Amino acid sequence: MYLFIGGFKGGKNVIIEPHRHEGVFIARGKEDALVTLNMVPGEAVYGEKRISVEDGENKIEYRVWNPFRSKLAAAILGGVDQIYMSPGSKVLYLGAASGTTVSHVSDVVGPEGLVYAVEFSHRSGRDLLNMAKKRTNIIPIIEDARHPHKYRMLVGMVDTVFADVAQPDQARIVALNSQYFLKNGGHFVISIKASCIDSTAQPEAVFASEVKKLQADKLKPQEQITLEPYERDHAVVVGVYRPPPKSKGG
Amino acid sequence: MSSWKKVSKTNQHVHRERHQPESRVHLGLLEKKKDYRQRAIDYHEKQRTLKLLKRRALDRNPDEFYFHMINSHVEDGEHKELEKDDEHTPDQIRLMQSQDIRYVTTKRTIEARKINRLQSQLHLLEAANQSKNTHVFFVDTKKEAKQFDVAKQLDTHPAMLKRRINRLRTATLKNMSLPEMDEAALEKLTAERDKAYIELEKRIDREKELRVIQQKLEIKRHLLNKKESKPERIKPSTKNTPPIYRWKYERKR
Repeated sequence: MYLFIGGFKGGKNVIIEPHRHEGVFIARGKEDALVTLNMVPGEAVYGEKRISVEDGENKIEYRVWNPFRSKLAAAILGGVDQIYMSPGSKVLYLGAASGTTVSHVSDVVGPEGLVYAVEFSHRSGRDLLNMAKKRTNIIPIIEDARHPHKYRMLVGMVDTVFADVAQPDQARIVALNSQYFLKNGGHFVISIKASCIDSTAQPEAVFASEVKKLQADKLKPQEQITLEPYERDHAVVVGVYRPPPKSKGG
Repeated sequence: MSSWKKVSKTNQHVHRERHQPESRVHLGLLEKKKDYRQRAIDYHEKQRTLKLLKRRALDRNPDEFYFHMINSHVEDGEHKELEKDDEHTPDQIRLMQSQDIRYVTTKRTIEARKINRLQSQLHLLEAANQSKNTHVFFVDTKKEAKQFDVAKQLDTHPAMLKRRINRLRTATLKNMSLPEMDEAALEKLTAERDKAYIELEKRIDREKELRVIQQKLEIKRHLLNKKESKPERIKPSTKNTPPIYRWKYERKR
């Protein structure tokens, strides 16, 4: 099942290594890159490089996922335990921007999954809409993530909430959206930019205070990882929402 | 008759050049008339020059002045002209410096673009494995914290822990089959990749230099502005940072 694709035999110059997280791969050879399986072969979303590999008779295309631009990619390469975005899962993505990372999340969850991408800015929302035309598993929503009731009719229950909104009240935004859309025992993945929350405090202190805020809203953190060498003073926190009580025997 | 001339020469005595006798070899080659003439002409010339210079020294006017006397100087025994600086009007200087800033800015933008392009394909995977980051796991009780096993938590082999970019799960590791490798191709591709990384490193360094130059020029441009009050220097510039000046706060109308 987990096979390396490609190889260096017969003039091929790339090898695709399966990653710990399903749907993510690493391309080796001339490249040294994190890639996802392109759901729409032949199309690049934001001018990223595509790598085509022959696997037997059929060709498979991968898209390079730049960790310098995507916090999620940086967290994956930093060694995060879980991203909770397995193929077929439903993800609510807050702060989608132009949809560069969203496109990779849509690759990861695959045609069976769904990504609800929320973005407030109309300018970046335009790119998001254009991308969603090509990718059927993305539902773009141009709304303020602070007011989830405005898009409650569009979004169903989701397995995971991802947030990269870079706002001082990020924890509150995530808590609100989780109350509306996240299933019990569902997961959240939040990227925290220390300077956006409090530019005067130490980054570690900011992360700790954010984690506290999350805990107060029944968002139980499981792990926290900083994003060096790709980003400075950034952290990604992964956790679970309203976990079921532990059985005493376990 | 030329034929006779030739024949008569056959019986001629060959006059060879006289050499320095063996006993006088230490004096060098034997001097001939030709050499003597050369030596004598040189000697007389020098004598004449000395005589002339002596004459001029005697005839010298102590009040004599030429501008060349102050427009030139002697350096290490060599006579050199003093060079004049180029002249520019303040406007010309301002224009030239703004052109410099624009050039540096353009170059820096180009460099930054190239870095972005390279970084989009080269994700520093080896560096990501080695560089320091913090990974915290949250547990409920102190007992759990004590018994915490990272490899077990991550569901991977302990040997994989250092390989942060991709710690494969135990189940994956068991089912995995490694691909066939072509050593020569692998070596060639690795060399190509390393070359790209070296290029990236050099470009990053260059971009850093250009940034410092840009900041320094920017400060210099502000200092030339006579409309602003003279600022106070807080820190001098270093190799990696521009100088820091503090301007007096003036309210804009």
